[in-house]
Amino acid sequence: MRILLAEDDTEIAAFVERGLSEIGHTVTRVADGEDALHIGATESFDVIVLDRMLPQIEGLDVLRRLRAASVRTPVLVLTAKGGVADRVDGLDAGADDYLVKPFAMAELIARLNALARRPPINEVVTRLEVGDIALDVMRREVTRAGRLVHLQPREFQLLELLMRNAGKIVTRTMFLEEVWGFHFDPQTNIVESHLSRMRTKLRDGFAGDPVETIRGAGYRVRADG
Amino acid sequence: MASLRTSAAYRIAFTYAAALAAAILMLGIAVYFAADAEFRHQRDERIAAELSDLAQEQGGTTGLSEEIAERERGRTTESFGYALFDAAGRRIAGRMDTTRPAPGFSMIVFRDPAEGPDRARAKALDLPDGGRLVVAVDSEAVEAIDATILELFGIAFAVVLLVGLAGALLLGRYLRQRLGVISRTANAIIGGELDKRMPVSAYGDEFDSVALALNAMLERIAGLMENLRQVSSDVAHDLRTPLVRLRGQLEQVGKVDGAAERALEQGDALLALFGSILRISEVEGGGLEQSFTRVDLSGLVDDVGDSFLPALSDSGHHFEWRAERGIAVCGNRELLAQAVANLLDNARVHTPAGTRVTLTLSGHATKAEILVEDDGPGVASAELPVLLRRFYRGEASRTTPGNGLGLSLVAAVAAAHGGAVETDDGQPGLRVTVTIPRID
Repeated sequence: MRILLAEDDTEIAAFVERGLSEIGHTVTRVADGEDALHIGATESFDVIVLDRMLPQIEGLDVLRRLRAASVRTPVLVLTAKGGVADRVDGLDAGADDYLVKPFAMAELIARLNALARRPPINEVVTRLEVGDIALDVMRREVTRAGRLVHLQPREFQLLELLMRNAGKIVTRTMFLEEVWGFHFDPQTNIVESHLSRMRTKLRDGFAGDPVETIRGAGYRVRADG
Repeated sequence: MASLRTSAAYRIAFTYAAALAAAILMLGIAVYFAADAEFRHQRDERIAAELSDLAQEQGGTTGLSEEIAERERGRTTESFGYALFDAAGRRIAGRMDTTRPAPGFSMIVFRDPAEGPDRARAKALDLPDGGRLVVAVDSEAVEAIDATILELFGIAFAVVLLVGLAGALLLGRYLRQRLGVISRTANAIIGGELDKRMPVSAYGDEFDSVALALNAMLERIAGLMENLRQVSSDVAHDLRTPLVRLRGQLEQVGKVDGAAERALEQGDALLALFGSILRISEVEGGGLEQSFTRVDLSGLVDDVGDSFLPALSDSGHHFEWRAERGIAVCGNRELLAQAVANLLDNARVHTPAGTRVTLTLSGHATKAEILVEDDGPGVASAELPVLLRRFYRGEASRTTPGNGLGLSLVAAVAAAHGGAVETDDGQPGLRVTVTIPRID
């Protein structure tokens, strides 16, 4: 994908660019708000990574102006400010995701993958199918090879998030934010314990676990099941 | 007395004194004119009555002259003057020495035998025989009453002015004194006596409410300053150890297997620590009220309880939760969830497998109570009061993971919601109670 990276710290920018280029993305790097606004508005990208504190024009202002100029590209805001109010400001300005520094490269990549080529908001997906697993969003039903699997509501939500991002990694903090609405990481690993119960139910009587654990990154449902 | 011009207290007091004096002055003027007009009116009526009474007298000029002489001799309280003129204009009766006035009311001048020319109010009436009868009253009487009224009001005005001035000075001095105490205290605080507070009198008046509000403000500022000082000292003391460890691990990278991973973990732990400190500072710093909404605490406790159940049973704990229905508070949902999560994190980390952990939400008249208790080894009673302190780690938990900030955040969240946290000996185990004011 084509990624616009607006980050003024050269060390961080270089490290992020290397990380994204290594896995085949094309990164355009800018170091201030003016360039970010200009290039963001004139060139086409799959996703924009915007630091909140940029010289010339502040990150959130760049974002507001891009949105005002009808640029609909998904934007992930990077920030050193992790306060409750800060995140609300970011989302109000039109950010699609908000990642607090410091972050693991795997976390950033997973979130960018989830953001890019996300189905348009008005497209309502009511049925997800990956391999032999089918998930009916309306009836809250999961079947594997046609056989009903009984999941708890939260286990259902975990699987839904994985299947919507089939082939992509979903990190622990993505689960916490999407399924629990928690923007903090409890010391107790509540994601892992719920996931393992869901996986046990999905495996019961079948060969193979449809969910993969990607060490140091997160979890994934293979696109081909 | 240059301060008289710059003092609002004196200005207010003087303005009131001046307003009072002006009111007295206006009252005096009104009374003076009203009384004067009334006196003149009554005098004219008396003159007219006397004149028509005399004119009734039968017996022609002679009879009238005798009657006039009679009345002049017998005059009592009322000093009427009489004069009767014949058709030629000569005075033929009456002692009043004056020229013939025109008919009707007029002001005349007569010669008083004792005082010389004098002014009088007169009414003249033409008689059928061509003569003219005049009755008059000396103007002195009305003028004397007018003078008396003026004099009385003059005195009253002077007294009001004096009393008003004295009152203004006293009131001004009083206001300056009360305000002076506040400004002297403020100056002392500016000068560095940070623990000084505004004195509050026994009156409970407006000055006292200002003083109380200022004191509350000073307490709040002092709390924030203490918080800042605490954070600085926390950073100095408690971040040094993990940084030293991180440095040691970095030195071993390339020499010892897994040193890089451990260094990375150590770095993450440090960052989590920073995050916790910042989060606590944010919560303690206030201003989060803007994000407060109605939070269904019953639903929240269910949510967190349900989220922790698998992990707590995986670690061998017996966990149950009970949430009374319909309990709501005004607050930040995420912070409240984090507080409950921290309490359960604590219970899981600091108690062995097999421990019973319960989370209970109950509603009281004005508050909601979240109770987390366990029947684990508990905390020495001497340690109970300091559990909420930042970076405090019980003797028994030196080796368990954690940074000693979990309960501090719970305390900060409770305080930000106008609530409190209490720690008790559960006999056995630990009981932590969070109370938050509830709403309907």
